[in-house]
Amino acid sequence: MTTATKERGALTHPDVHHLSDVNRDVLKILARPGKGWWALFGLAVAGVGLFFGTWAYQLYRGLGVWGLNSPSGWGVDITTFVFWVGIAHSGTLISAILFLFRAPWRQSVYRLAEAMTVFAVMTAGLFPLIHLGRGWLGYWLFPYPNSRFLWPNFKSPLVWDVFAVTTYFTVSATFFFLGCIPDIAAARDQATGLRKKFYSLISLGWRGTDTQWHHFGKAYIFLAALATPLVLSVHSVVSWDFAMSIVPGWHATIFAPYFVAGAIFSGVAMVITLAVPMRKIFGLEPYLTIKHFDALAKLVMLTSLIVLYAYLSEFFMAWYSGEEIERSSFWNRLFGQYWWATWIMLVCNGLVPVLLWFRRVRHSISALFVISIFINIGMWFERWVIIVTSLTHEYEPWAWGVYRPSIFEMSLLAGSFAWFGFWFLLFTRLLPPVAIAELKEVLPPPLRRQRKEAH
Amino acid sequence: MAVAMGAGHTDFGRWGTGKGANAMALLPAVAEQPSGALVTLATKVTLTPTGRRQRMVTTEGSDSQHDRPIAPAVAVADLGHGGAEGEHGAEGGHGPLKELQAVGGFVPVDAGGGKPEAFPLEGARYGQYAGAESKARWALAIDLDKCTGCSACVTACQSENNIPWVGEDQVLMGRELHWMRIERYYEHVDATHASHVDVRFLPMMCQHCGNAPCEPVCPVYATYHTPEGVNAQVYNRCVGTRYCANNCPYKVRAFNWYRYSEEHVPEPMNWQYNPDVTVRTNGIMEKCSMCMQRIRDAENRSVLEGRGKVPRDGDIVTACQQSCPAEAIVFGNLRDPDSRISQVVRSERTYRVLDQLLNTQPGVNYLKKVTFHEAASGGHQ
Repeated sequence: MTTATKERGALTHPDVHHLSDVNRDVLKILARPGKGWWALFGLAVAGVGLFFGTWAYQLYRGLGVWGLNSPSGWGVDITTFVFWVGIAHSGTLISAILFLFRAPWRQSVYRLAEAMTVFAVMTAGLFPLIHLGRGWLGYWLFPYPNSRFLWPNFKSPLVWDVFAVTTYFTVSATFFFLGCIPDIAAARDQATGLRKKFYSLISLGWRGTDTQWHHFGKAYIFLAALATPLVLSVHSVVSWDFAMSIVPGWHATIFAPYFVAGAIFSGVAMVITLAVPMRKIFGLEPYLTIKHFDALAKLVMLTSLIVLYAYLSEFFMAWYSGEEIERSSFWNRLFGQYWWATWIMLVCNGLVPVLLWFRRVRHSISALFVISIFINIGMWFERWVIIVTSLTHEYEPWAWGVYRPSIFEMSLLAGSFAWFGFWFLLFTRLLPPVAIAELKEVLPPPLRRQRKEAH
Repeated sequence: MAVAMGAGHTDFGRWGTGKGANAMALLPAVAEQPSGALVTLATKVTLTPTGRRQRMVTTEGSDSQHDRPIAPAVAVADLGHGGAEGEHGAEGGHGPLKELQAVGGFVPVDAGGGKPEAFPLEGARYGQYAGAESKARWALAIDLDKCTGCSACVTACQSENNIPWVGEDQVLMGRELHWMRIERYYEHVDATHASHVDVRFLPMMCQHCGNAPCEPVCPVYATYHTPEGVNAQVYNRCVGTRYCANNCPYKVRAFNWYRYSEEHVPEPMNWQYNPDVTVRTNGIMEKCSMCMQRIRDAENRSVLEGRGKVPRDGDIVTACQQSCPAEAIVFGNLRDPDSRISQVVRSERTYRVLDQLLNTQPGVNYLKKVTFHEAASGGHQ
């Protein structure tokens, strides 16, 4: 197994010749940032300002600054929450599940995907707080000891959500940090001044001894095993926010697998969206090869099929059940006031990924980038379709309504991307964005390579 | 062209002046001969387009029931044949539930023949009504045959329960804040009858479900069931997730998007607030409480006068009931077989909205409208 992995690893990185190349190429990313980075970072900081400014204003004025109304109690807020939780999924899938399955192509992308996961959960986790009418009382959703013996309602899926998201954040952040330690030590060995102090602190005294590697390996595999069920559980729980209700269009048993597949789908697309520019800017072509993108694209293909199947089976079941209100809800989805959102969802998530069946498309970096953007948009709209089209067309025809988001919701949505980007940009400069130690594992050992060259 | 009368005041204090337009100004100063009143019908006016566009303010989502069992009617010819007690097609009967049980379905309740006094059914997930200390099951009955859709109940409810007015711009956004509303559905009937349209009015408020969808989804128990069958909302505990409103099939929960009670009710209007009812703040959900303050008041009086905790039938009158000119609304204790409401809901016209479909077991009972024509179109059961 190990040999096979190594052989394949060697095939995957034909342009990496020496183990020292990895250190050099990856650690040079951490050097002094250029103008482009500062410009992007400035933009992100401004966006974060907008994000928190909007939130503060909304807390001060009331939720009324949004466009939400009576049939539509949730809108852009929960759509964006589910979108970011979904993005957060592929990280753990790539790092933990593919690690356990010994997929050799994960080494190059997993650090990036894991960082994306942690930051996406950090973004998603804010939205349940933001969407509260009285956000300052958000801690009431936690079972904390209090003199009135008041506990949250454990029957409510929103309470499950609190547990699911906090657990997922804790485990994925720990897993991410643990995996970084040897690489942080590598950065420490090269750094000087304040940076050296910072890396020394967070590398937790890593010296690369046998005992340390032994413990590291055990901890890593345990955490991977711990994180694996979370990939399935977290988005299942998020889907139950909807499936546990009686709203037509939400109340469906298919929701948990449907949401998990959708989450992985959107997450892998986001990995491609982030990896393409990083590869270009940081000169990571020898590490993120076409083969890696090909593997990611195949994962997108698979999950796109599952998601498309879920869409179609929802429509089929609405028709086949003969339940008039369910039928009406789904008819409204396709041809009602938000028909455009539904068709954006179907085209972006069902039709566009069909292109990935062609090898030529999978091997074109720019085509993959464009497709991944389509999927990101499509997956945001998927959540919009589920939430808004269902809520505005429920049981009581008199109470049907229209929801138009306001500028404040839009600035929160834009601000959430800035908040995510802020952390991600910091990550690219502070932590090695490609796993140095693990990459070296799949590269052929220097001795053998030298012997080959000698022949 | 029809214009509503009663708006467009020129001298009505700080808050009334300049609101709306006065249609009276358009009328010619001509008196109708026999009565001497102003001629209000068939007046000639000229319309000039102003080029301005304005969205119409309405609370209506759809004027059709779309064949859903929300405001059904019964033809006069069908009355007296035990329509509502029948196995099929009767909204009050729990036919489908029984069927589910027979095939081992997962509805764990005995349908109890759909008798109103049996509600909420044994095994309903919320509320322990059989307890010795709870003698009452408060409920409402509304006769849709008597309802004229005049909205006096809506206004009375607003005054009684300190419901702020939110204003035109908020209603345009779909944020009308009422604890009850009058739904008006049109049913198109056979043209051979007197009218082409059958109008159904349905006063809709919190249905106080025995098996309420809003209750399990609240993460902080801000909505729960009292032992007397009332679905209660705890304003202090509400954090404003709005999940309860999303999961309410009747859409009767209203959210405070702003500090309506402070910002939209200026001095001196706040002096009309009812001291027995909480004034709600920003970011919380509110809804019909079955005039809980009046229930508590009658209970207290009953205890003081040595008559026990449960007030006499008729001691409690809800605001909507009090103001209904047609006396279409009855409130009372369903556990007392002699109470007026118990007698009213024994009618074969009784049904509960969407209950058959969703097993919500509402505490609000409706009596179907009686129509002259045969059951021809949607909504007829």
